[in-house]
This record gives sequence, C-alpha cells and structure tokens, in this order.
Amino acid sequence: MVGSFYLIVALIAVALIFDFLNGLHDAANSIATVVSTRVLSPGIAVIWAAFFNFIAFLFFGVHVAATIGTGLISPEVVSWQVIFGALMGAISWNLITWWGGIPSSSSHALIGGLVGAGIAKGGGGAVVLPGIVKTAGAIVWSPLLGLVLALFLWLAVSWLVRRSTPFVVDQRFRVLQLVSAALYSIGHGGNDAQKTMGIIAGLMFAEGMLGEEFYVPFWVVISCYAALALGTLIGGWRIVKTMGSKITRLKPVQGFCAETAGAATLYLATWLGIPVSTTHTITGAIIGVGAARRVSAVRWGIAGSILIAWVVTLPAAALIGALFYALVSPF
Amino acid sequence: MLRWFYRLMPRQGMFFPLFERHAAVIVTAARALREMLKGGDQVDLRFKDILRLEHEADDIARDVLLGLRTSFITPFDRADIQSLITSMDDSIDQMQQTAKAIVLFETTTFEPDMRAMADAIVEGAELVQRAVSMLVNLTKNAAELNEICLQITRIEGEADDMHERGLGRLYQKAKAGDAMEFIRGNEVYNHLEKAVDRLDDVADEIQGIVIEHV
Repeated sequence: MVGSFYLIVALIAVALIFDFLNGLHDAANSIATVVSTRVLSPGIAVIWAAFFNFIAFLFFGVHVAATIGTGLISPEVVSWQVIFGALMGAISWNLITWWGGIPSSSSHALIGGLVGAGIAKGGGGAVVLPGIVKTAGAIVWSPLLGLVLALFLWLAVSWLVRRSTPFVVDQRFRVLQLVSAALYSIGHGGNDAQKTMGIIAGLMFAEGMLGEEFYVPFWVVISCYAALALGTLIGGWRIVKTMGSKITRLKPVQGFCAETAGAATLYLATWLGIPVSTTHTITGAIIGVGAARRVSAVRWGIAGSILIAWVVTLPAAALIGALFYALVSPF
Repeated sequence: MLRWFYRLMPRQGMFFPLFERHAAVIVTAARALREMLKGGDQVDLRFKDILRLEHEADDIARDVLLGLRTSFITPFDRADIQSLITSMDDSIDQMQQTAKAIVLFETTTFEPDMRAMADAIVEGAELVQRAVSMLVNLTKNAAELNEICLQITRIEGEADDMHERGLGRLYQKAKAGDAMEFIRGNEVYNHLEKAVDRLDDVADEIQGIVIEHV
C-alpha cells in the first residue's frame, strides 16, 4: 500500500530525529580532542563543531545519499515499511548500546537496519551488490586509513618541528587544532547528514514523490545538515558534564594529526559516495597517533572490545530492522 | 610491530652522552668514597673530591633538564628522562651526605662492614654506568638491562645484611658505655645504606623505562 502523506511526513520526522540523535551521540568525537588539549572551552568547542557540521553542505554533493537511497537496497524494494524498519532498527540498536554503555556506530546501525528490512521484504535479490560491497569494505579500510594517515602525518610533523621547543610546538598547534577540528566537523557533517538524506530521499522516491529520477531535494539537504548540527550543539552540553576521564590525554600536535587524518579519510569516503562510521574513523586516527609515540601507549584491550561491538552492530541492527519491517508489512 | 616506523622518526641524541657523563661521575665519586673509608688523611683529601664531583653531577643534571625544555623529540618519555636523571643525581647526593657526616662527626677509623658497604656502592655504581651506556638501544639491550638491574637489587640486599651486621657489632662494642661511638657509627652506616638504596632506585627507573619502551 502506498503510504499516506501524513505517514511519510511522520517517517521523515523520525529520520530527522535519528539525524539529531546521531549528532548528539557523536558530539564528543568532534570536540573531544580540542577540549582535552584545552584549546577551546567545551561550550565554544561545541558551537565550533556544530557550525562546521552545518556549512559542510556547501562542500559535498549527495553521492553518499544516493548510495543509501538507491545503492544498498534496490529502489523497487524500498517502501515506507522498509524505511520504517530501517529507522526503527537503527534507533533501537542505538538505544540498546547507549543503555548498555557500549560504544557503537549509528551509521552502521542505520545501514544494518536498512539492509535487514530490505532483505526481509525482498530476499537476497533486494540487495544492490556493488553498494553493499563498497560499504562493507569501507567498514574495514576507513579506520585503518585513519590510523595510517595519522601515523604518517605524525612522522611528517615530527620532522618539520624537530628543531623547535615543545612550548613553541604547543602554541603553534593550539591554533592549528582549530583548523583540524573544523576540517573534521566538516567531514563528519558531510558523511553523516547524507545518510539521513539518503533515507528520506529514498523513501520519497519509493513513494513516487520524486518523479522518474532519484535526487535529493534541497530542503532535505538543509534540514539534515541542520538536524545533525543541532544534535552536536545540544549533545555537547551533555558531554561537558561527563567528560574528564574518558578523553585520552593528547597534546595539541597529536590532536591535530588525528583530526586531520580523520577528516581526510572522511573526505575520501564521502567523495567515493561511501557511508562510513565517523566514530570508527576518528578512533582509528587517535590510535594511530598513540601508537606513533609508543605501541604500549594504546590500550589494545579496550580497542579489542570496541571491535567486538563493531562487528555485532550490523547484524544486530539488521535483525531488529527486519523485525520492525515484519511488524508493519501487513499494512 | 611498528619498528620500521620508529626508525623513520627524527632522532635526538643529545641525552645519551649526558647520561653517560653523569654515570661516570657517580662511579668516580663512589671510588672516592671507598678511598675515604680507608681512614687517616684520605678522609680530608677524598672529601674535597666528592664535593667537587657532586657539583659536576649537578651541572650535568641541569643540562639534561634544560635539554628537555628545548627538545621536541626525546628518545623516550620526557617524564622518564627527568626521573632517571633525578634518581641518578640523588645517588651521588647521598654519597656526598655520607662524606659530610664522616667529616662532621670527626670519624677517622672505619669498621670492616662499612668498607664492605662502600665496595657494594662502587659495584652498584659501575653497574649503573654499564646500564646507562646501553640505553641507546633499548630494544636490543632489554634482556641485559634487566639482568643488570636485578644484580643491583641483589647488591642492595647484601648491603642491607652488611648494615645489620655492622650495626649489631657496633652496638655490642658500644653498649658498655660509649653512646657517642654508637651514634657516630650509626650515622655513617645509615648514609651508606641510603646510598646503596638510591642506586637501587636508579635500577628501578631503568627497568621501568625498558618495560615501557619495549
């Protein structure tokens, strides 16, 4: 059954709420390094990050949105029920992991939910293989690339500053960290907002609201970037209270390397139209920076348990997505 | 795992020569202290030597700390570099304290156990010198460094025994009436024991650095 107008509007609202929650959830990543090095106060850091999340819309196209909307599950299969399943799967898994205190990727939850609901409706044939393959591949290479880029950036920076005093290096990189934090927030906004855009546009396309060709209406673009930025803004205030011990001890020069490496990886993924986990990418970069100093500086035990949550997310969200789809499929 | 990467990083070599010089001063001071315990006119002669050597060591330690403030690249954690030089300097400070106590209390004859402890100090100082020379290549020398540190700890244990024995004998000799004799001897034993302990502290620092680095 074709969804009624109000149903579609409701689903779009849910998608935007998901986007907002995404920003809330990830706010800490955007500001963690720049706050732990005390370059910015938490309040200003959050505004800085939210601003650059938003203006990212000027820099990126909609390739990631197209992948989400039409490149994972074939458009013929997508319906409002599938989108409902996808969103509910993602939101449920986010809530479960939030309640359980497990770090997980909202992006992976969304992709998992979408794939689960799509397969529940259309079976294996519903899947668009190229999209799935490049997304699955990016799950592995995006944190690894973040790590490797951070390592080599650290190497380059070390050679450049080898004759400087620690004090001068600190001062210079406190300023440069403003730049790298901005670059990272742009990358974060660019990749994450597009996922929700893809969901909304995919829904609208499936319900015939976009005509013959898939495209992303401008109001969808702006509202997704805005929802994400708003989430970052408000999420930041919550993070301010619980920060402290969780944030790794980084010096400005290390924060700069991690954020720049993360940003570069995100730009590449976004340019290739691949949805990736911004959390995992920046985590990879921070691990790279830690390992560059000393391999023992990285708490590999914790990294391992994060890996497990990571692997579980996609199938778990897919399952929940399929269940929610089944719930509404009779309608 | 990342050894190839660490090899590509820029090097900072200024610290190792400073550490080696400091260690050499410690050994010289330890030997001077042993000579001092031979008594007689050695006491005054060696005392001047030890004072001079302690100042020299202070200067080198100051250079290390200055280097830390001005170098961005350090061969290992800057906090560890600071701890190491501080603990090394503490050991020679304690040797100076021993010498000062001897002169203050006008001691000119020494017990055999005191001389044995002075020997232990020299042995410990020489081991520290060997260990410090290996810091240049922590990964390659890790096993040997561990051995040396264990040996220093063993020496410290033996010195503790000498200390106990010496104090016991001193007490037996003095308990009939000469309290001052006991007090002077106790002071010397106390400082000698602390000097060995400080060398053991250096060994602990080095072991910590090896564990962190490898």
